[in-house]
Amino acid sequence: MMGRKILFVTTDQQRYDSLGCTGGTVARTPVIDALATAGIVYDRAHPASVVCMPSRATMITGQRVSTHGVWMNGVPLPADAPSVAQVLHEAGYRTALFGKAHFEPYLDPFLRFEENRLGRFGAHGPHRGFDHLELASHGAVGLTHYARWMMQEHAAHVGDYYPVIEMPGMQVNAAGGGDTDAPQVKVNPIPRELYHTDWVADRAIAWLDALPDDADWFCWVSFPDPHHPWDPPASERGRVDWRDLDLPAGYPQDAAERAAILAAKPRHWTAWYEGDVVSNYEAPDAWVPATLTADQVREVNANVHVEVELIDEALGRVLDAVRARGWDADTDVVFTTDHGELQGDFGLLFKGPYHVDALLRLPLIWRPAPSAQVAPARVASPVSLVDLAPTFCAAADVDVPEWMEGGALPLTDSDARRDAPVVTEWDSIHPRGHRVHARTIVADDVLVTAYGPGTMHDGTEGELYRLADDPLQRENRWDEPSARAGRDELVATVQRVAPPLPPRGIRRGVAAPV
Amino acid sequence: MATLRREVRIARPADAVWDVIADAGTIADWFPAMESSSIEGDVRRCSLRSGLELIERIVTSDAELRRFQYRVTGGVPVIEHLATVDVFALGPADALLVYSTEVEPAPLALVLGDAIEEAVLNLRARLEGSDQ
Repeated sequence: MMGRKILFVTTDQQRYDSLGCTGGTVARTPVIDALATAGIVYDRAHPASVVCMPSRATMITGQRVSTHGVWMNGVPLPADAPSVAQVLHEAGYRTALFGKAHFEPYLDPFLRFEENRLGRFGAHGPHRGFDHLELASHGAVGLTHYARWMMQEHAAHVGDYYPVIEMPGMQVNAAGGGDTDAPQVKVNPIPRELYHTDWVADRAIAWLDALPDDADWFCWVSFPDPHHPWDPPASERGRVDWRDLDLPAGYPQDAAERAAILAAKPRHWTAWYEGDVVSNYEAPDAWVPATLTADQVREVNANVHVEVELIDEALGRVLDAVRARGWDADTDVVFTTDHGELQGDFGLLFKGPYHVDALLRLPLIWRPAPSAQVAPARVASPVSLVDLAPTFCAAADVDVPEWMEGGALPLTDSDARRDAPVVTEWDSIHPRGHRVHARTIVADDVLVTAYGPGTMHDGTEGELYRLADDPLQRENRWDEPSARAGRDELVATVQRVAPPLPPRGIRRGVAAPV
Repeated sequence: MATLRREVRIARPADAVWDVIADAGTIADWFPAMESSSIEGDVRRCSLRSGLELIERIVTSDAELRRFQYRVTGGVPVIEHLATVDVFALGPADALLVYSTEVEPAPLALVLGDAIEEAVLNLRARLEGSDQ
């Protein structure tokens, strides 16, 4: 075989505006920018979910959340679930995944899940169609290959990272650090060469280097950053001084203005901001967003920029390895992330049932193999990460299985499928009992979210933003009479495509908080 | 403190179900991901495939009530824990097993709940598949 090879690069929790090619002005990302120049930039790419496990399950299955059933973090994707890696493997591709998988829960003392068994025992697969897996997460503890390597080879640095989960409460840690005492920030003394970003690149390069020249391959390089904790190696912090940063446009600097903007949204926004309700496990239980200071926003953003630069450099090394093998002309490169990060927008951090651009709008770049002679383009039409798996099939010239629900990404705006709703689903049941259910659709420059009945909504609430007029989504027009007809049509579409969460006993069970 | 409850109906006499529960040192035969288990006095040790060792103190083993209770005291980061396994007779060859747990920290309930669900289903399959 000598077909097109596929390098799939993902990060975790990265905003659209974090790269030079998508309007970022701080982090230097020449490698990704070069891919964008030579390829296709999707300026309105949305995830199927704004948390890791459901979104990643969509990437590998090519299915919406309500189809693959991983409806919140902690719900495992069955080991025999459909997998684009399996499709490519059966087509003769060598397949591998390096870095963060997270199709299965992390918190697994009973070692019930294969990802954790592989990491615990240092095995490499096969699993889910991948011939080879070497896994990492956001630190050096846990049941990953990276944690195992750190424990065996560099035990003195295992404790360098910020502890994402606090013990014994087992909640997402709210403790502050850095210069501003910002949550999940730490000055990390780990040497850069031991940091997980470089480890992921190193392991991918080692695998690529060992392949025969004539192999076709699908290599998923999955960087755990810039997801919190925001603790890049201390040696790299000088790249961006938080004191020099402008506050992000999405951060209303006046507290009264922040409160007023949030008050115009459904009540869970203000309830979280004021510390009354934490609706999902992914945000620290003990942290009150209203306490977030402007300097903390700056320091979090500075650390994110540093982490993004490290990813860009690590990806550059992987691409150099591909070029050194003479494969570049036949290699498709797809770069994206699983979801965004609030990163100070509206005075908030982290993620949750807040379907605005901070979390929804993702960087997505496809540099088709140069041998395919696809013209560079920017695509403004909405696309979904459900389209990734069919895109890989198209690049590999294999039939798209019927179980995939998307289609190959468009090459131009005129190529975009108008009949494919771009949908994001949210369902969560917090250990404290809070339930939030939301369905979001973007179409014709309108972003609509309808909330289902839960502990904070009665099923009539929603959000509607006109993206061209309101790029920061500050004016909720859900109740405007003039918006009602179009709104109801979009709500009907999203509810048809993404039905409500099935009742307990039918939906997949939650096996861990994350 | 979180509470969870898993129950399963088993087509076997309640005493037969109780015999398995009361033989506390053999829990590794039916609980997922346990490599071995042993009992010494009122302390049960369960070695997990992850390398962890659960240490549990048996609080109650009452054949009259068919009630078994234990507390996890080490191996996983619990603040408080109490598990109660009750076996009720629904008929001469039909039992209801109820496995309840109170645990702090609350997030651990999700991990335990899913594992216990798998365990009770394993137990039912094992008992219903055995010679009657």
